[in-house]
Formats: sequence, structure tokens, C-alpha cells
Amino acid sequence: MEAFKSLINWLSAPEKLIGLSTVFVLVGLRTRQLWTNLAGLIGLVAFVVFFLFSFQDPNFRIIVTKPDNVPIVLLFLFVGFFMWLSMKQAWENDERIAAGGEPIEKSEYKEKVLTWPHLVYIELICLVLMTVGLLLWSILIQAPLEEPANPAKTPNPSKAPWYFLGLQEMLVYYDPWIAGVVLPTLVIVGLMAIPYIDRNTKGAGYYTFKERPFAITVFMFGFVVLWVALIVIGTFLRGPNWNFFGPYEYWDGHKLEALVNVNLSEFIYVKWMGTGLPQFWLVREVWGLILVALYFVLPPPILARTLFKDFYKQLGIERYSILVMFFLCMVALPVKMMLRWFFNLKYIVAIPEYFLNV
Amino acid sequence: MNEKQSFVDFVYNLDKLNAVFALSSVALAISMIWMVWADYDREWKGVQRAAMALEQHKVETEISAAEAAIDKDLLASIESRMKEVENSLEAKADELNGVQDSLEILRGEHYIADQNLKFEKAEYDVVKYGYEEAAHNQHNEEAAEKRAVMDEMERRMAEFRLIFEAVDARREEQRTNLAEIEEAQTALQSEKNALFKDAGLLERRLSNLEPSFQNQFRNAPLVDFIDPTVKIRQIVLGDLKNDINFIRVPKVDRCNTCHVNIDRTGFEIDWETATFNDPVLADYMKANYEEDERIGMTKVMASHPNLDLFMSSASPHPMEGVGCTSCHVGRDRGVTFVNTAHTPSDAAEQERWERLYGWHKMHHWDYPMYQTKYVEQSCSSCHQGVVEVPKADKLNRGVHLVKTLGCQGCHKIQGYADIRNVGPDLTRSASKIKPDWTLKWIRDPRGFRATTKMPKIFDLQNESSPQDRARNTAGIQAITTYLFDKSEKIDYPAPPVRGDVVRGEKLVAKTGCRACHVVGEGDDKGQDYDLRNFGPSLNDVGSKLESGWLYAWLKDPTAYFPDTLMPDLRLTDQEASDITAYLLTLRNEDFESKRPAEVDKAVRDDLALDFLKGRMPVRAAEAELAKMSDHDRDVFLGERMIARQGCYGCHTIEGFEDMTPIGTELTLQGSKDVAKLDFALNTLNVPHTRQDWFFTKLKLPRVWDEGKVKPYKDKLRMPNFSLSDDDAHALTLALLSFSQSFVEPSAMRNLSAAEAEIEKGRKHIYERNCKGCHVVENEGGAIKEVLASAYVADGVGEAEAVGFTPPTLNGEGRKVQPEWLFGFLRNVTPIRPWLDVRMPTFGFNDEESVEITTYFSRADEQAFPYETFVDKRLTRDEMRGAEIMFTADVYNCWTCHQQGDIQPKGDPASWAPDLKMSRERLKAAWIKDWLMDPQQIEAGTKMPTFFGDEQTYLPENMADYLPLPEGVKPEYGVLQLPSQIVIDALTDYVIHGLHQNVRVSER
Repeated sequence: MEAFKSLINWLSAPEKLIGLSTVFVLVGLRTRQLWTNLAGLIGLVAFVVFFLFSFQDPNFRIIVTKPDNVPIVLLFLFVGFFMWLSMKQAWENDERIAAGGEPIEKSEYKEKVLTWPHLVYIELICLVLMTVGLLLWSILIQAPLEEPANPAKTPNPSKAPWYFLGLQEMLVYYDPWIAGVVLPTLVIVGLMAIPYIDRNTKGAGYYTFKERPFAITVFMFGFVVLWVALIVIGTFLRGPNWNFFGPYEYWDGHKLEALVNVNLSEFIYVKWMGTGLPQFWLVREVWGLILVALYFVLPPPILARTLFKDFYKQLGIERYSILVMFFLCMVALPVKMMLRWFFNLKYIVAIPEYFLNV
Repeated sequence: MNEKQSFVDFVYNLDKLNAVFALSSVALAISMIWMVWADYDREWKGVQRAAMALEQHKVETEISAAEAAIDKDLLASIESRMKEVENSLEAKADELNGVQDSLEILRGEHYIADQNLKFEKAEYDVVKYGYEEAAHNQHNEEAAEKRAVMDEMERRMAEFRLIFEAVDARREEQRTNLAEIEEAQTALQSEKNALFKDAGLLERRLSNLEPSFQNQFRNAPLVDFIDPTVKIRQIVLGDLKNDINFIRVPKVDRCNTCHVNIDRTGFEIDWETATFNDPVLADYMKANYEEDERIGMTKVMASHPNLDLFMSSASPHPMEGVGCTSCHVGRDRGVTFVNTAHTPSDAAEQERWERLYGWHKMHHWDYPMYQTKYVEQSCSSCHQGVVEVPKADKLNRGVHLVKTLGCQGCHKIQGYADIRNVGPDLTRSASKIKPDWTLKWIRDPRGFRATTKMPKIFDLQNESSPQDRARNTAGIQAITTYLFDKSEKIDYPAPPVRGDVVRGEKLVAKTGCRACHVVGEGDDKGQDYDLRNFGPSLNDVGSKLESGWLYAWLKDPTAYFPDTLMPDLRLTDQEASDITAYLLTLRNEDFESKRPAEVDKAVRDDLALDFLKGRMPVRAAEAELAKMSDHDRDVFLGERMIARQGCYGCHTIEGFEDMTPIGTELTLQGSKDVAKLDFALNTLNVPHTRQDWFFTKLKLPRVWDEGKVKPYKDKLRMPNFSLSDDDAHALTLALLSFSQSFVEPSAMRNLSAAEAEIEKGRKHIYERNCKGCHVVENEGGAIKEVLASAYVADGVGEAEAVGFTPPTLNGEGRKVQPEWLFGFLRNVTPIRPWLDVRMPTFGFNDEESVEITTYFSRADEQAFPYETFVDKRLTRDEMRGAEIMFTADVYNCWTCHQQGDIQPKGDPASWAPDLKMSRERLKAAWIKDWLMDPQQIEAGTKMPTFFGDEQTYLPENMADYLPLPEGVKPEYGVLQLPSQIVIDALTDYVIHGLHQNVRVSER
């Protein structure tokens, strides 16, 4: 039992959790066996069993039953269920299409019924049940009010509202202006840009995976890994001082972590060349700047000739460039995470003189 | 079914859908009802209902008692008389009916007449307004018209008025008739009502308490917003605020929603057993509640334990003005047991609360309720700038301990900065003590003197390993070396005369030493930090001091230590030598026989090196150490160790004059966030509260080092004062009171100018330990007992022995003239030279003397500093009369009282002050009061009570000398006259006569 708990604690560390969810997105979406009724049932049972088992643990119980965190537990269920539902239908459609048929949605489309009473009735029932649910929730779980805000005594950990916890987790890896301003802006602009870049009409009005594996995989990576997983980490696994705590670990405010992260310039000058850091910031940071420039300059042409050959042809140079830029920005987050986890790299470019860190 | 399906094709099975819809509607209905109930069902309502039931029971009991108390015979007689009256009324039935009928008709007429008059007046006012407007706007025609209407109306109004008055008069007439007929009956009825008055009042009270249908309906769900009997009660306190960090909001205390009887009498309980004092209530609780529940319910329904001081409207802290959370703290707006932030007073109570009320700590409120034992900390949020808060005994004790133990030496505390060092000056210690003694003393002060205020610093729990003990030995040696190295060395010659131990012992017992020092065989008060432990115990000084120094010290303490509180007792050379000789016989043999531990030089060098490393690189430190001689190393280490331990917080030490204290500032310690208190590994599982942390820290100052890995010089340094639990509690309370007050200055207990002057005086009284000798404000006089017993041991009677003790200073302001008191304080001259105990010379400066003098005047509400003094020249007769009265023939004053240089004739035990001083010293009004009833002013005084009555008796010859009122003359050789005349004559003589240049007649 304890061994299992320590295994889970160990697996929950950000690098493993992000790694596992990435594998799940990249491999799992392509695995037909995961998107059947049986697999769904097994998944649900596994979740419930895991939850019931973990509930015996006091530390787990405290964090899961906090009124603030109850929605995140539901988020697990809902994200899982809707992902399973859509992928199941996508795979079924793909099989019908492969067999020369048409998607389920298309055949259903031919049978039409009236809005009243067919839709309105079940909507009414949903409305009633939803109201019941909200009433019970508000009766059973008291509003999580806290002490009057005190500028001299902030809560530890200080946490954003749950939907911003992904952004807050990014702050671990990036400077506030990137994690808090640039990346969220790019997320919004990128989402808005999708219809202008992706003019592929396949999959419109019906679920499919095989017809657009790249779009779905990239979106799922952004949503499940870079958004939901980060929220889960931020909610359940970040304790006092934003230190990492496994789900069965006590949130000890005195836990220490060695802060031994270094900048790229220190790697180059101090560790490899064995000299001190140059005085002038440009000389000091020139390598980092070059590296960042290369990250955005080199991959687009290379990808255009290799992995994204087809896109390049379909989209043309302008739309292809925009797509790749957004793609690279998105990938920059996991890249930076990995550099931090495996090399203790603090910043690639660190110019405190101008408050600019990358 | 078929019909439905034929109408239109359904995607879902309609019957199933209907069932789902029905079920979900039922679920909605149930959850709605649940919601209303959840909103309605509140904890506090249960408490209020229980309190009502209890009160109902109480009132019902009282009603039956009141009814039982009714005089049955009287009631029967009233009723039988009523029968008779009723019978007689029947005979007059016709007459009665006639009057009643005409009254009924008149009622109608009266109504109409009244209405006519009023309506006419109303309409008249409307026309009048129109007329005024028209006239103002020069519409003359219209104005004239209106005027005419007005005249007509005025006429009618006059008519109506006459009619109304006529009807009114007739009605009054008939009423009088009716009252006359019914007179007897009415009288009997009111007699009967008076019998039932008490019960009636109680019945009315009961109607609001009963769970009658009406009351039940008023409290029913959904209608209870209109006028419920069970409701939230609250007190809004404008001037008293809660600090919620960005803003301060007025307190709204809802405590009395559950504590309904808190401001009422009649519900007093015994808090130990949680039982109502009223047996009716106690029995009710026993019968209706399980034991566990009964405790809580009794406490919540109790009256405040101190209604004279709190809550009741007549008290200085009425509920409407002060509320509850101003003192008890907690969450004022809360109405459940948990979210009001109650705090259990012990583990047993906590367990009971958790079990019965689901109690848990209210994490989200920064100000949990104070435990009852710590509630006095709140006093200081309003009562500031006073030496003692009246009746706050624990707080006063705590503050006294802070000052006495010298917490302010190591910890900065605002308002405590001007308190002198509590330890002696060490800049000349080499002239006083020996190194060997010092080594043993520093290591274990209580080993030398069990009651010393010097705390234990070394070998405490975090420094008790053999290695640390060796370091301590080296450190103590180094400190001693440093002190003797830096100290001035003065040679004190031996006393000039040979002292006599026996005489010395007598002097110590009788001169007054024991007001501040415990000294002499069998004299041991333990360490109570009280008046007689003001100075150190002297029962061991022989092991510490030498005769030369001690003699010089006794002769003039300030010469050696300018800041000392030891006063000058104006000892002669012989007296000082005698006391010296005696004190040196008091020794601590055990301590003398101990040897100080040997220093391990290697350990010493390591320690010195450690300190050096903190200042310079390792190699440089090693080189520096190598350069030092053995002595230099000790001096260096000593300097570092003194700095580390902060010895200079209590002692003046050469080289440390301007050092900042080593401890954390305590000014706001009481409001310090619990998270900022370091519980470390909390090996004792101390609860995470301020008070528990303080208490533990005081009792075991080094406990937070347990289990921690720390180098020697970084370890905790707070010394151990070996406090008793009570004292540690009191100190904790004082620490808690060092907190930020959120009370608006206007709402505080602000001192008037006179009160501020009184406080200044009280400060001197406190700082100089005046109460060691004198009773001031009914407190003190600590020496009286030991002093009296010294005389008793000499064979003086117990009653007489009291005569040798210092005078009480109660009412001193009424008694003496301020100019005299000022002069006396500046330059003490004996008033009672026959006493052995003497008023020392404290060396008060002008300012201090003025403050003390002012204090006595203000405390007795006397004019200050000037008062009319009417000088008077006594006539020959007056002089003669007074002289006779002073003789043995009458009042015999000179047996006890001194007169200038002439000593009294009686036994020294009964001697009394020089009356010739009275003119300069006493106030005439006081002398008169004193003569009238001395026991009233100073209980136990030997001054006889000559008067004490309106009238007094004198020999008849006195009639010649006294101003007699009309009609008073001697009868049967005795003169009876008002006491006041005699008292006035005696007072005049004392103040004026004694100073007139007339030959005093033979005595």
C-alpha cells in the first residue's frame, strides 16, 4: 500500500505527469482499443477505485475535499468522459468511412423531428436536474470564505483561481512577462487564427480522427497537457511555497528544495570555458540570443522539407509560416520545462539589466 | 399510447421521459424544502428556545410562589364584600341603567360636536390661506369675498364650540354620577388587583415565552421575517472596531443571541461545576439535559459572573457601550458555536466541544476568543498610561513581573524604555566581589541565593551536553575575566569602629531594612517578587561581600552606584559598623564549599576562534588568536560572550553602554502572527497558539532548540527565570496585552488631568517601594508584621508593638499641607524620633517631590497647591481654656504628644508626634476629623476617641473659657456641650495657640 502510494507520489512529479500525459496524447489517441465502451467502463471503474482508495489517506482527503477543489475533481470526470465520447464516435465514423459508408451524423441528419417537444422536453428535465444539483451543492458544501485579506500575511500557497492555475504553473518556467502576458496572448490569437489557417472542411459536422490527426493531436496536446494537466498540478500537487507535493504527501510548510538553477551564460562561460561571466550583458547573453533566434529561424524551413512537407504545399508560405510560428511558441513551453527538469536551466537569456529573461 | 405515437414520432420513449420528469420534479421539490429548512434550522434558535423554556419554568415557579403568597383570608373578605356591593347595586338598577343610557347617547353627541368643530376649523384654515394669498396679490375683490366667508365661519365656529363645551360638561356630569354609584365596587376591584399585581406582571412576561400557537406561528419558516420571538440580537458598537487590514469596521456583537441572560441577574452560576445558583434552575437543568450537554447549556444561559463591573447598564462597562468582543475577542458577527471562534480553556473542554458541537479551530479568523484566564489582556486596549488597571489582578501581576524581571532589558518594549536596569552596575564590581564567587554565581545564581532575580543562563537544556558544558565553563571564566579586567578597583578601608553583631541584628530588624529585604534567621518569603523581595535577600551576603565595601555602601549607597534604589538611612558610623558586622555573619556554607569547574583551554580557544571567524577569514582568525596572550583570549571571549548573552540588558558593563538589546521587540508581541512564532520541531506538541508558545518559552526558554542542529553560538539564549506556573501565566497575559489596540482614542478610558497626576505619583510609589513600609490606598505596609514581631520578641505587647510601625498614608493628602510634604520629601526630618524604624532619605529631586505631593493631594481630592490659611490670635481665655483641656485633668495630651523639645511623659510605645509641628504640617480640617474619630482615619491608632458623639462633657469650670451656645450651662458640676465647639477650640490651640508667645501653664 505504502509502496503504491510512493509510486503515485513519484509519478505525480511534474516532469513525469507531463511526460505521461504527452505520451497519452501522442499514442493514446491513435490506439483504437482505448475508445470502446469496455475501455470507457474500465477507465471509469479505475478512476472510482483509485479515488475511493486514495480517500482513505488523510492528506489526499484534505486536498480533494476542499470546497475550492471539488470542481477540479469533477473536471477529471468531465474531460475524460467527453474525450472518450468524441473519440469513440470519431473512431466509429472512421471505420464506417473506411468501409465505404458515411458518418453516423450524416445518416441521422436525414431523420428530422420537431424542437417541441423532442428537444425542449429533455432540456427542461436537464434544467430541473441541474437546479437540483446546484441546490444540493450549495447546501452540502459551504462557500469557501477565507480570512480578511491581509497585505502583511498572504496565504501560502497563494493560488490563482483554478482556471488560471495553468498559467501560474508556467511562471515556474518562464519570466512573468512571457508566462503571464506573451503566452496567454498567443493562445488567444492562435485560437482565433485557426479558421484562417485551417481551411480543411473534413470533419465538419461529424467526429473523425483519421481525417485530421495532426489538428486533433496538436489541439489535444495544448488542451490536455498544457492546460488541464497544468491545472491539475497547480490544484492538487503544489503546496506551500509552490513546492511540489505528491497526492499523499503532507503539505509541510518547512519543506526545502535546493535552488540550484543556473542560466545558460553560466553553463557556457563558467562550466565549459572555465572563466568568469563577461561584464557587458550583450557579450554575456549573446549565445542565448543566438539560440533563441535559431529556434525560430531554423525549424520552419527544415520542417517544410520534412515533417510538414504536405502542409507547406497545401497552405502556401504565408499561412505555413504563421502556423509554424504558433506551433513553435507552443512547443517552447514543454521545451523549457524539459531544460529545467533535466539541466536545471534557469534562463536561456537573462538580462536583469533590462528586466528581460527568456 | 398508440394515439400518442400516431400523432408524431418521438425520439425518446415518452412514458419513460414523463417518469424521469416526474422524478426530477420531486427531487427539485425535496431539495427546495431542504434548502428552506437548511436556512431556517439554525443552532442559535435551539439555544434561544432552550433559554425561553428555562425562563418559562422560572417564571411559572415564581407565579405559583406569588399566588401562594396571596393572603387568602383577605381575598375571601374582598370577594364577600364585593358580593354585598353587587347586591346593593342591583337595588339601584334603574338609576344605574338610566345613567348608563344617557352616557351612551352623550357619547354620540360628543363625537358629532367635536367633529363639527374640527371640520369647521379645517375648512376655515383653507379659506384663510386663500384670503392671505389674494390680499398679498392685491386681488381685492376676491379678498373681500373670502373675508366675508371667513367672518361667517368664525361665527359658526364660536357656535360649535359652545355646543361642544355644553355636551362635554353634561358628559362629565353623568360620568361623575356613574362613578359615585360604582365607587365602592371600583375600590374593591383595585384592592383585588393590587393582590394580584406580582403574579400579573409575571403572567405578562410568560406570554412572550410560552410556545403558544401565536408564538409558534411567529417563528414558523418563511413567515419568521415579520416579527419572530426567536431572533438574532445584536449590539452595534460605533467606536469599537475590528481591523480587517484595509479598513476598520464597527463591531457588531451578536453574542447575546445565544448568551441571552448575560446582562441579567437571576441566572448566576457556579462556573466550576456549571450549576445555577438558583436551585429551581439547577434542578430543571438536571432533569432536562444529559450531563455533558447540561454543562454547555448552563454556561450559555448564565449571567455574566461579574455584573457589577461588566454588562449591566449600571456598571462601568455596559453591554450597549462595550459589547462582548471588545474584551473577549472572537468573531463578533458569528452566530454559530464554531464560527464565533470560541476557544476551549483546556483539553477536556476541547474534547467535549469537538464531540458535542463539532468544534474546530476557526482558521479564517485572525482573532480567536481569549481563554478566560487570559481575558484580562484586553483591559490594556482601553486602560493605558496607568500603573495598575483596577481589578485586573493578573494583568497587573504580569506587568509587574515584566518590570521586575527586567524583560525590557533584552526586549525593546514601547513605554518601558525609561525603566532603570534591574541588575546592579558592574563597572566597579572588582571593588565589591571576588572572581571565585563570580564564577560560581554566573553558573548557578540560585545555588547561591534561591530567591534571586538573576536567571539561570548556562547549562540549560540546549547547552547541557558535555561539550557545551565545557564551552560554558570557558565562557563563564571569560566573562568573569572581562568584568574584572574592565572594572574600576576602589579600595575600601575597614569600618572605623568595631561593629557589634547583636546590636547589628537589632538594627536590621528595627530600622526598616526588612521593608525591602528578606533578612534574618527564619525570614524567608520564597520568591514572590512582592514588596519585601524588592531588594535581594541578605541572608547570604557574608559569603559574597567584605566589610569595607559593605560599610561604605550602607553609609552612602549612591557613592558606589549612583542609580541605585537603595536609600540613605542616615546611619551613624557605629550603626553602619554594627549592621556590617551582623550581615557578614549571614553565610551560605554550601555555596562557599563548591569549587568552580576547571577550564579546558583548548575548548576556550576553539570558542574564541569561532567568534573570530565570524569577523574575519579563517586564516586571519587563526593568526589573530595566535597573537593573543592567554589573558587576552579570555578578555576577547568574555566580551563576545557578554554580547551574545546580552548581560548588559540588566547590568551596566564597561564597553557595552550603547549596545542594542539582544531580544526581539515585544511592543506588539501580543498581536504577532502565530505563523511567525517558531515552534521548530515542537517536540512537546504545544498547541499552535500565542499563549501556549509564550508560556512554554517562559517555562522552558530553550525548548525550541530541541532536535535542531545548531552551532553553539547560534543557540537560543533566553535565560530561565524558574517561574511558577502562576507567574508564567501572568507574564504570558502581559505579553498578550502588548498588542495593537484598535480602539478609537475617544472610546478609551482617558485620564482626566487630576487622574494623570495621580498616576504619576503612583509610579513613584511603585518604583520606590513605598508600600514596603506604608499603607497607601489601602495596600502595602509589608514591613508592619515583621517589625511588630521584632518588638514582641523584645517583650512589647502585641497591641503596643503596632505603635512602632510606619504610619499609614491613606488620606495623607487630607492630612498634611503640601508645602510641608514637599519639604519633607526633599529633606527628611524625623516626626516620631522615638521610633527605631526611619523614613530614609530617597534623594528625590524637585520634580519628583512635586509629583508625589500632587499625587497625595489629588488622590484625596484636595486643593493643590494653595489653600486659605486663616491666621488667628487666641484670646487669653481661649488660651487658658485650651491649656487646661490639654492637661491631665481633661484630655491629657502631653502624656503622649511631644511639644517642641519637651518629651512626652508616658511610655515610648505610646509616644505621638510633636504638636508644635502641626501648624506647618497638618490641615485644620483634618485635625478636627481626627479628634472626632481617630479610628475612622487610622484603624488601630492609639489616639483615644474622646468625642465620637454630638455632645461631650467637660468640668464645669470650662464654661468660663469656651464660647457656649444659647442655653448651655453647667449642671451638677458638669458642662454638656456640642463636641464641635471643643474640637474647634483644641484645633485652634494646636495650630495657633502653641505658637503664641504666652507662657504655657504648668502641666
